[in-house]
Amino acid sequence: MKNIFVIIAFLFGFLEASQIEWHKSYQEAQERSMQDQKIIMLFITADDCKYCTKLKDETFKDLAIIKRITEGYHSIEVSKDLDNYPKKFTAKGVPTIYFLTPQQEVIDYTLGYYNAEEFGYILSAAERRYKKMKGTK
Amino acid sequence: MKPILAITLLLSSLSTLYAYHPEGMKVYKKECMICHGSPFRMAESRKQYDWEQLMFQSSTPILDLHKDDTEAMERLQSNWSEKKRKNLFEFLIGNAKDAGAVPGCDGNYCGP
Repeated sequence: MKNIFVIIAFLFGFLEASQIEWHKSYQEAQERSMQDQKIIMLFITADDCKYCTKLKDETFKDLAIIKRITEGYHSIEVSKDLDNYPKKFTAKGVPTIYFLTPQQEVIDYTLGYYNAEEFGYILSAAERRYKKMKGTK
Repeated sequence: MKPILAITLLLSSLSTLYAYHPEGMKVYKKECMICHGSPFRMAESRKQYDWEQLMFQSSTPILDLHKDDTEAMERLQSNWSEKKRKNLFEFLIGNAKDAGAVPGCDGNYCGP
């Protein structure tokens, strides 16, 4: 019996680490970010967006990317036309990703598909900029 | 002076053609992204005129910009070429802060 619990706990642990935890609303992500000062990752998508799906199925399934996003970001996925989020974060195309401070200032943004290695560089640059922004205040 | 002005004006007028520059985007991803991150954000950090000034200031503008950065110089000196430089600047000029380019998602930009 004990072994079964261990296996179940292990599986839950594995599942938790194998996907990005998306907040249910932009507001929730922002509130959490205000508490712990992590970066908000606003992922703007749309229906029938081929490269949004590719980004989700490939880049966002990469374990190193999942780890980094889980540890350092509050993520929220919104539909460009359907969901409620501040429309000042415009999306000229999808997928668009904004990296925001808890105060909703734009740290960085990007457009289109990137593989895990490239996306890692984007995260690093966003993190560097965020540190710099915090340092100047 | 006049030829420089003419070249600048010509490049400005052609800049919208540069906006969708998949080759330049590829160069950026390969050579610049590791330090500078998002391509569009980087392109938007300067105006067209500033990118053009950089492009024409010498025959090795990229190396000049990074001359104090040992790590970057090692990367760039072994990898750089005139064709890459040209492609990269066409992308940067086309997506500069005042370029008016609206990058959409087509196969070139949004795809691998």
